[in-house]
Amino acid sequence: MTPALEASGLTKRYRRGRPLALDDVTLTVPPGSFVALVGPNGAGKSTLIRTFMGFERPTAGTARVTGVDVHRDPRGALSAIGYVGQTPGLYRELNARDHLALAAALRPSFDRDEAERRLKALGIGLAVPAAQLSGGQQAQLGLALALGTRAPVLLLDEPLASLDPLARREFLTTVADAVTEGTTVLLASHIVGDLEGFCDRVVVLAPARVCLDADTAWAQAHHTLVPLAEADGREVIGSFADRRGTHTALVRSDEPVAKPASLDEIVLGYLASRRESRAAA
Amino acid sequence: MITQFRVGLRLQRFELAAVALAVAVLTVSALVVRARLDGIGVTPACWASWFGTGNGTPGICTPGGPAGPAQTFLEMNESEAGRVMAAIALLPLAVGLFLGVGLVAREIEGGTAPTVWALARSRSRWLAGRLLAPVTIVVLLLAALAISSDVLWAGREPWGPALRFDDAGLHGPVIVAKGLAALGLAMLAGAVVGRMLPAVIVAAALAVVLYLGGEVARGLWLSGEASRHVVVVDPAHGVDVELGFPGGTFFSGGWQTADGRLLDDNSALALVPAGQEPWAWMYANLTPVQTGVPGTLYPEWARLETTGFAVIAVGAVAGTFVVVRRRRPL
Repeated sequence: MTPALEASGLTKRYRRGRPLALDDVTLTVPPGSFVALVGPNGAGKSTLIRTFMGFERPTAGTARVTGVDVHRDPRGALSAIGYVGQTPGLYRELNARDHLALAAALRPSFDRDEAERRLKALGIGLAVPAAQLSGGQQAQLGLALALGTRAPVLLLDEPLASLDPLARREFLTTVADAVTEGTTVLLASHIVGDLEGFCDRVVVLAPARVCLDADTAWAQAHHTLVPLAEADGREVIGSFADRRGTHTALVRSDEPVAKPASLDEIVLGYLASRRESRAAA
Repeated sequence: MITQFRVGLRLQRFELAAVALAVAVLTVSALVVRARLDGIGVTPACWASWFGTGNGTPGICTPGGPAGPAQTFLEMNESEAGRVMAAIALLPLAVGLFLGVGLVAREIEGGTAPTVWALARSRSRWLAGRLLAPVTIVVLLLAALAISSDVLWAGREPWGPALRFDDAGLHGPVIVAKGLAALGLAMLAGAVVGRMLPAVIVAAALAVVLYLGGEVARGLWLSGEASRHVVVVDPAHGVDVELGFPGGTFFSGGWQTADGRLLDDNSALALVPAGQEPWAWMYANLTPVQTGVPGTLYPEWARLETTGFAVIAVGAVAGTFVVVRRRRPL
């Protein structure tokens, strides 16, 4: 089956002499997945998504969307993508109905009725100017624009960053509904806790490189936390101080563990691992 | 396209309203000033008397006489009509600048570019739709201004020839072409820079270059044409520019050899044989001439100027399409 998203040796350097924004990133996202792309600020999450969008030209490597090379056939690739950026990218003076009309004018296949139905179900007034909508409502309008394209792949570039917890949950619920309908989702975020229970795959991007690409259930079942002092002889991924200041190690086990780590802890462990290896280098 | 036109109108409604107001004020002003000039009712005989070429009413139709209709006309022509024409020189550039800069730059700066570029599979198609409203409005408004400026211009010199170089570039279709060139350059600046304030500064500089470029180009064209329009000087009276180059422009004096070559004074002096009185020899052996461009050539220049600005407009718009297709939306 053709992967929904495929990055092969993807490398991006914005300027000569500057560090790599993406360093030989190879990634395959099967259709119907909900992938959380997590990592600290500056890890390259947005660069990766923008490369899939064709907004950035890679220094090396290829990016494919539903098998279409993004840079050889940008129109073909873009037709398979719905996109929501860090800010919803709305016209402040236009209302939701205008936005949907514009989307339909720009992309003839845009499902305006479905998008309207979605917004009405969320109680978002179609005649209210975007500037008067709450942050959560603006995000939902941005998402409705992306979902209305009926594109098989949804790329979400940190849309949760500025939302309150309730708005984040509503947003993720809408995205999860789309996944159940067969849409593939790649959602970049540094708010990991909210993604638990929604995503079925996690990709951790620590500065420029993939340091974990795993099924969420498998990752949780095979990682646990132990006090650092008791980690001898186990496969330590990374260590960090917990809330009480105790140094804790994330360890990986080939067998399912009795007390699985949370997604947040797994990501912390891998980020700590990357930080330690960079410090050692 | 209709939706994009409607959206374009709404997105730039304040700029469009301001531009429409400015153009309306100037258009009406031009028509009012023309009506006021006509209302003075200076007769052809009066003008003939004023310019000493006929037997009009003495006194009020002669320079230095008591204030009369000709004097009133000339004062109004210089002050009111002059101010309107000066504003017409600047307004098309300002209109283009005002409407063009934000077309792409504001989308990038405001963060809407990634959304619409992701929705539109073709950025060119998006830009074409985005251009529709401002270009239509600019063409319609500036066409109205062009017509009213033509009306005013036609009434400014009732004694002069119908075709003349006065107010060159300030009336007729060139106004629309100039406005579109300014709009294209401003849009291109906005697309390249991607930020409103720096783009405004760059676009303003380009508008100044456009204005000065038009002036320089006209000067070069006139100088090229002048060498082809030679008027022989009557040594007794010289050449009155109005007679030698009616409605046009005098360029320079000089000498013509028997084989048709044009010489300036220094070149002609170099030909004088030793021992001869230079000026007497030159008058005896060369023909004193003046070069200039008659007003009848104005339509030719107006076509060239309009075409030049239109080419700049098309080039700048094409350049914007290339930039938009290639640039990051951030």
